[in-house]
Amino acid sequence: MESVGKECTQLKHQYEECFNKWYTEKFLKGDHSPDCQDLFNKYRSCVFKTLKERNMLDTIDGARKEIGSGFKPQSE
Amino acid sequence: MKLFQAVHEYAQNWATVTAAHWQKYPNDKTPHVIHVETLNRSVDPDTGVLKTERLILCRQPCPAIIARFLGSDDVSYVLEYSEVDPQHKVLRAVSTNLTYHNVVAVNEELTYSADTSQPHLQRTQFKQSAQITAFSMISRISGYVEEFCVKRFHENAQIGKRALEQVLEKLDQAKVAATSTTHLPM
Repeated sequence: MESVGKECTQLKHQYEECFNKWYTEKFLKGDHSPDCQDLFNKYRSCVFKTLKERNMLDTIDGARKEIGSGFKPQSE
Repeated sequence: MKLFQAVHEYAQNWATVTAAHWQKYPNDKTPHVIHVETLNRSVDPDTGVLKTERLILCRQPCPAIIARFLGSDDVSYVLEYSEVDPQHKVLRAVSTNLTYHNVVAVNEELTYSADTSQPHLQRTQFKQSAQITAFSMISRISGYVEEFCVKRFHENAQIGKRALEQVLEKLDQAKVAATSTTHLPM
């Protein structure tokens, strides 16, 4: 699946591969130490850049409260 | 306001079903889901709960008919927040639509939990509910939009279940392949 920002697609795939392995092999077995943080930070900043260009960040921030998100507005 | 509720039981254990949840897309059963982006993710150091925030982009949004009225493109944005509690074996996800939210709000909640009534079977209970509220000065229009959305929601719920089952089959096959590789004679 492509990322919403085409240039983020490769970063997305790398991160998701790492996450899915971590989730099954570590997280569910009680090991919560992060494995994929660098990959996630790169992928995330790429996606946020795209969403900022699409003027989506304020809308996302606004909806966080409604769904009781555990994350605070932190637009980049 | 209209409510939609559904329950389902998966024959696989909770760990497998929740792993499939994260790998559900892309899926040929759900071509309307075009992008799924993870915006935030962290493990709560005190509780060990995995928190995730995702943005889901779909074609054919629930109120497609409204999109046509508004003349905008047919991509809709959904924000999802989920928590995975590995100790109690519960994954709970709540979501809401960002697009046309002031016309119709679709607030959905999903839970995958280990079936504790028959623990030896290691099955997973799935519960899905949605609250659909249309905002219109004319109640007849609200009613129509809500009915339309509930119908569409029901259809998509069926498709979503089949999509997850497809991922579960793939995971099962991968597991069998891995096991048979391990047992190959040297």
